[in-house]
Amino acid sequence: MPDVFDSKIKSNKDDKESKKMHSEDEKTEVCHRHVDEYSEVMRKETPSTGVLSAFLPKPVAVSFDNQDISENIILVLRSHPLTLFKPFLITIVMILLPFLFGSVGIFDFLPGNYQSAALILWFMIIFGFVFEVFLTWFFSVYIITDERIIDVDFLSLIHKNISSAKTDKIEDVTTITGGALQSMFDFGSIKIQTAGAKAEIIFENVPYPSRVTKLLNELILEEEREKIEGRVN
Amino acid sequence: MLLQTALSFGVNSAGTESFNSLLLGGVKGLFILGVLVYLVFAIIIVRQIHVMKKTLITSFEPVVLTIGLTHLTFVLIVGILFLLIL
Repeated sequence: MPDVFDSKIKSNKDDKESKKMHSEDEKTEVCHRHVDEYSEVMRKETPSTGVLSAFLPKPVAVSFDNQDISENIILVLRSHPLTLFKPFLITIVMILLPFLFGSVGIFDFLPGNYQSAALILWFMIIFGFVFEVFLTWFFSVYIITDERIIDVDFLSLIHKNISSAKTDKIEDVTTITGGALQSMFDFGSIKIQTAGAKAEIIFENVPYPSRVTKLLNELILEEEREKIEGRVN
Repeated sequence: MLLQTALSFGVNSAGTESFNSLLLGGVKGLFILGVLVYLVFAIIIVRQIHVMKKTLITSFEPVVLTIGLTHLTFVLIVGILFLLIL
């Protein structure tokens, strides 16, 4: 009998908890407006389904670690693909090197199987280099949500740095676009000064910096509006 | 061949052969060491993909992980081949 009684109490408790969670969900749904309602920049953008682009507005198939249920990703940014031009050139040179050495005959003193082994090892190194460059580019992202900005720096294979700041902690946003290439292809860096633990977050070589800056300003305004209207949790 | 010709100058053939085999043994050791170092690199890549796919979740992660694992398998095969062929 006491077991049954205990289970009844437990089930009542669970019901209450689930109701509480539902009401919290409803509350947060009421609190946050959809980004299209307040952002002129995002209204023009269609939700992106791909994941390999450097500019992913309202991404459908992207989420991140520590994302809140009520938190929506507004924009995911990566470095502009043109920043990969230097590694691309290095790869081309690396591919051409064995042919250059082959024509000179530097490794002719080695038996045939050793020469083939050297070639396999060399092309493996080239693949490793290309893959590492791709991974660094792919996983180094800047995420803008309706709550905060997140900077995921995948500096190398063994160095990772993740920093974030709440939108209401943003104090100043500066766009830096310099050089012919950046002006021509519309990419640059954005310096975001925050009142958080990390004083400055930099979005490096991201596409459409002016659009991103405008979006950040819209988000700051919306955050202020939420506070005034009492829509803050 | 060039090295063999150069080495054979003024040295008896038995001495040259032993020196050559010693030299090739050294080169083989270097190749295997290179593959071992590269194997560590390939393992780190797979480990990092595992870590990063938890940080950023997209539909492309399985593809990246498959490439990483294929790469690791290929390095292992090359390492075994180097041991057998060289």
